[in-house]
Amino acid sequence: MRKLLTALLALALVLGALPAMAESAGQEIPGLVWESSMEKEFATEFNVDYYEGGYALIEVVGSAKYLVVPEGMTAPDGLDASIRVLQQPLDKIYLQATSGMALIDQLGALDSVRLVGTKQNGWYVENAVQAMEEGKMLFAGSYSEPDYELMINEGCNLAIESTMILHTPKVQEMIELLGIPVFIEHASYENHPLGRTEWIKVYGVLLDKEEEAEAFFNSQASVIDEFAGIENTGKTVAFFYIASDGSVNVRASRDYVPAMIEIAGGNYIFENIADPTSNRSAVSISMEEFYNAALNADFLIYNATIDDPIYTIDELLAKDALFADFKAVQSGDVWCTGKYLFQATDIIGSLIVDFNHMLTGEGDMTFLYKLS
Amino acid sequence: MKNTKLRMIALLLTLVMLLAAFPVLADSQTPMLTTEVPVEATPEASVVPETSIEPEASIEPETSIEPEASVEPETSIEPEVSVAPEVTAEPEATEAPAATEEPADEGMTTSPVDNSTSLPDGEYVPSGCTGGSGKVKFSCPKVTVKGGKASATLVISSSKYDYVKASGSKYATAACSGGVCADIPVALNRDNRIVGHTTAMGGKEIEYTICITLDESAAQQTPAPTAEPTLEPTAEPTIEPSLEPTSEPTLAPDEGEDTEHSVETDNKMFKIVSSKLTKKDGRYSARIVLSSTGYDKLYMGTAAQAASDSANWIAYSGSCDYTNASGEAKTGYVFNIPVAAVNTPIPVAAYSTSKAVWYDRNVTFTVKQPEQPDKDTEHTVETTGKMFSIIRSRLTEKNGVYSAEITLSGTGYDMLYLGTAAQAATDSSKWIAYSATYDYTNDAGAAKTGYVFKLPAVEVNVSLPLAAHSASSNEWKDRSVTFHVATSEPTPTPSPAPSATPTATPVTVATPAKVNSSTTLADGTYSPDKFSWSGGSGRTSISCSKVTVKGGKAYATISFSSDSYGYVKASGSKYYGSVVGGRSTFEIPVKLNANNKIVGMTSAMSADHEIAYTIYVYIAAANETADAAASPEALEAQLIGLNYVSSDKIDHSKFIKIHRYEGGYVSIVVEGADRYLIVPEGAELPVGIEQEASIIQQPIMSLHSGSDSALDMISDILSSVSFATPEEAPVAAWWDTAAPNYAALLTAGSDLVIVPETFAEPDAGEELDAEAAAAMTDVRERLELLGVPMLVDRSTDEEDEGGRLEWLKVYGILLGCENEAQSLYEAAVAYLLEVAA
Repeated sequence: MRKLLTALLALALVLGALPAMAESAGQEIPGLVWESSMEKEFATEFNVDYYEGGYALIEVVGSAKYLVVPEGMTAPDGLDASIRVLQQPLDKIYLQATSGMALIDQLGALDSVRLVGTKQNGWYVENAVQAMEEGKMLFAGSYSEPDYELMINEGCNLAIESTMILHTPKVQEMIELLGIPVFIEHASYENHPLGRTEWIKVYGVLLDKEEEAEAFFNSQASVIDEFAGIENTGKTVAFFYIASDGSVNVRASRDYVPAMIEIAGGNYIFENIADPTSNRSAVSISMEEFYNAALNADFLIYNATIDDPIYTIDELLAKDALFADFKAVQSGDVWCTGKYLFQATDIIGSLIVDFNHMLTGEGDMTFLYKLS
Repeated sequence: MKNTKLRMIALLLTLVMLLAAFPVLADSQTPMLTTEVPVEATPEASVVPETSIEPEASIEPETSIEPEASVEPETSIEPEVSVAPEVTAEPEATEAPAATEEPADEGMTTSPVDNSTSLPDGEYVPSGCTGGSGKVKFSCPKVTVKGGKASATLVISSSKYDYVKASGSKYATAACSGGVCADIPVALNRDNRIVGHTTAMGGKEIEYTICITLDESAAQQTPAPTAEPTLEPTAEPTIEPSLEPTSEPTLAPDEGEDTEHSVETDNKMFKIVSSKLTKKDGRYSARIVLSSTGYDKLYMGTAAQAASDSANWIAYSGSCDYTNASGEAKTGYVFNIPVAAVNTPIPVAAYSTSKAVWYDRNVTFTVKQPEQPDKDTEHTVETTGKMFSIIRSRLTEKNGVYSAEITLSGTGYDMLYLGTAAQAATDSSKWIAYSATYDYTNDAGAAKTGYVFKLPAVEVNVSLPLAAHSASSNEWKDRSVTFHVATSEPTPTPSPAPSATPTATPVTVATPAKVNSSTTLADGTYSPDKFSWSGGSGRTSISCSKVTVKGGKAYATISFSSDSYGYVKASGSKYYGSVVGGRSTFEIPVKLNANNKIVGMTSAMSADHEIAYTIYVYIAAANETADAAASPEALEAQLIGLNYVSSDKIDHSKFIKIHRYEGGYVSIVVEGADRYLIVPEGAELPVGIEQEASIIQQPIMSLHSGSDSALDMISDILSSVSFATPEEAPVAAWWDTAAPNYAALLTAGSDLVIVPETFAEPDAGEELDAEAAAAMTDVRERLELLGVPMLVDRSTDEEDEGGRLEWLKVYGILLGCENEAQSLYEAAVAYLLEVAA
């Protein structure tokens, strides 16, 4: 009788505790014992749960769940079919998502990347360029036309894709049919600039470099603390480039670049551009619209990540003579980013510092430069 | 002022009515007609005051474009230049924009154009309209000719444009489909400088150059479905340019082309105060005004010659009053003289009335060549040599010497040399380095960069040796280039007048040779029995609606699924067409029942591009002569870009047909499945052929089969062939289409997958299990994604063993072992007969 009572009591306790556990414990996986959840500061697009034995579940919000299975272990029986299994070691990666390269580089794990979706001349991560020169990394086609044969022949065991792959679902399906798991990263969806950097923690899980990831992230995140108390300069900033069709490409207001400008003490000229519910990070507008918005901006920053960099104000005027009317052109406050920006997910903190130096006119630059 | 008030009231009334009629629209944010109307109307209403009618206020001197000197003494300012009140007072006037003169104090100006045309009055669809910018697109759906004057309906893609200045007047725009519209006077087939005003950016005037192409030689008047007259701006035909009010008299529009120039003499007593230099048929002539009436005769030669050659004395044709620099009123005599040469002193004798003596003088007409873009010459360019192609070329002529600016398709060659590779290697002084790079998008949509080279002094219409230096191999390669300039062919459009912004004329493809379009068909209109085409990127398709036979010659009406095609080059000439409903339509001579090469010019890309196509127009009735091409087999075998040779005799099979073509191409038609084209190793793939057949590229060194029957036959063939080395022997393996292992195909580097008969179309009445059908679709799609061709085997569907065995021929062709396969087939069939006997 006492035994029965004890058992009932225990059961009641367990039942009572369950809802609370479910909230904090994240994902229940039959056959695995939950240990902890990863702590995050800025990223909202992923969650990581750890389980006994070194298993980790990565959830990419609104996309998919991936169970990272340590080397020598197997996925538990009866695993929900919707959870994709990533069996470590993940050492023959096809990296199509360019923003991941800088982060993997910071982890010292470029050896794990065998194939890439960008040609050598498209990389701005020095070590990646070198790896391609040395043949350690091979170009294996773009997201829409990957070289399946090369992937198979190289024993590729993970394809890390950007959200571009969602445009070609048949390609994703084909890669998976070839037995290669596809991981779609959402770093570009992060609103907070350091949210992108925080994705280094995901790569840390995949590549078994969690500690390195944590340490690097903390060093970049400290920038935020530095700027926490600064006053807004009241200066306005436009961040843009001219597309080949003559339209002006600007970042959406909710994108991470405007966020960086705000953190650095500036104000992005577009308070509310692009549909806030969409995941678009940039929008194309007409020169007329841009003119109306940015004519009196204190600073113009030319985004050279897609278009070629420009070095002089004359080059800007050659793109459109209307720039002559702009306040920032007349005052000479026109800057340009390096090509490296988009791939530079690792040094976002440094870019915020650059923005602040530009706004205040004090301090050295890492990768912004002023047009002459 | 009364008019203004009336108009304002009328506009307000219209506005109220419109608002009442469309309350919902008016509330919405969309830029609908209702919101447009008052906006468009306002500037118009404000310009009407009588002051604008006064010539001084309304007509703008335009010294920058007109030659500074002019001859005709009469100033021809017409007071009627204002807007006709009956047009503007009516509310409907907002729909038909009316012209107002450009106020002298406001923004940029345009100068009057000569919009006379030889076309009869009516409405026309122009064959082309260029102009605008990346941001704002101009189009011109209609040209109206009235009283021998042309005006164009200009559609501007941005609704922010509230007026356009053209030909010295201002035209308010009205909302219309595609943006806003204005009817403006235009000089056809040449550049017209216009100014557009956008309300965006706080209001700004922007200069554009537009060119409206319409063949003036042939009346191609559109059927004019509505007799609705288009309101013509009343101002344009009557405005005559007035030059500086101080001295320069105006010029009457004149035949011949004005040439911008300066003139000087070698003697202070012989002074020309103004001149007009005209070039007609390659010869210059000038109307000059001397500074006084001191000389009354001129002679184009020396004083000595003049004295004895009274027949060629040139008397003054009139006098001209002008004001000199000191403000004094003066009179000078006007002479019309031939100009033997420009840019060099020419002797002229002048006869002094007071002294009754001929004096030797020299006059120099300097044509300002540096300020004037060199004359672009219409041409085509052809190159020889592998990997050496010119994507655009601009040929300019200066004093009879041609120079070219060419852009190569890539950056592989960094230097050129006009001569042979051997000469180039030893003559570094004449190496031509690239002068610029050019980014473009190729037909496949890929971003490319090419080098731009400037070639001085090139000969035309001959094949020029050209050495190209390969940057990677550091070697000179022999190539050649030919610039074809039409010498006798009449050019349908006059070359455009020099504009401030010369656009490169990228020319890529030579005009196809003349075809024999004769046909035995009676004159009349026919529908083609079959039409096929190849070429281009595949984004634009071509259709052929009819064939017209006139005088025993066949003309096809072909239409591109794009409104950007400006002309078509075919049968040795260039043809202009019309754009209707988003399609560009042309009528061109064709050789029926044969491949015809044509070239289409599209302006859809950043620069004009010429693209080669092959079209094939088939009319069965045209084959009365029963030549080889007439057999039903030949018709079925016809593949664009390939020359049919013969068809194999098929003994037993119900499902296969085998056709052969020049160059070793073979097509295999599998009934109920597909048409396959087997392309020999190293052979070029005819562009667009994939629209007609599934391509199987030889050699096939690794194949997979999901058909037991096929795999058996293939194994038999392979074991009957003795290969020199094991590496030369193709490898065949089983591949289960029910449990497809795609990785296995890639690991083995598969060149072909043979799938079983279940992949053929179901027979009539046969229901296919939906799941199985979806699975097969997946296999098809995935093989396509992997780039592995697929062939459907129907050997087991054959009615008898003979039919099945005949598939040996198919596999023999695919494996390149036809003879062995044929022997096997014959032996097996012989054995069958034996057994049967």
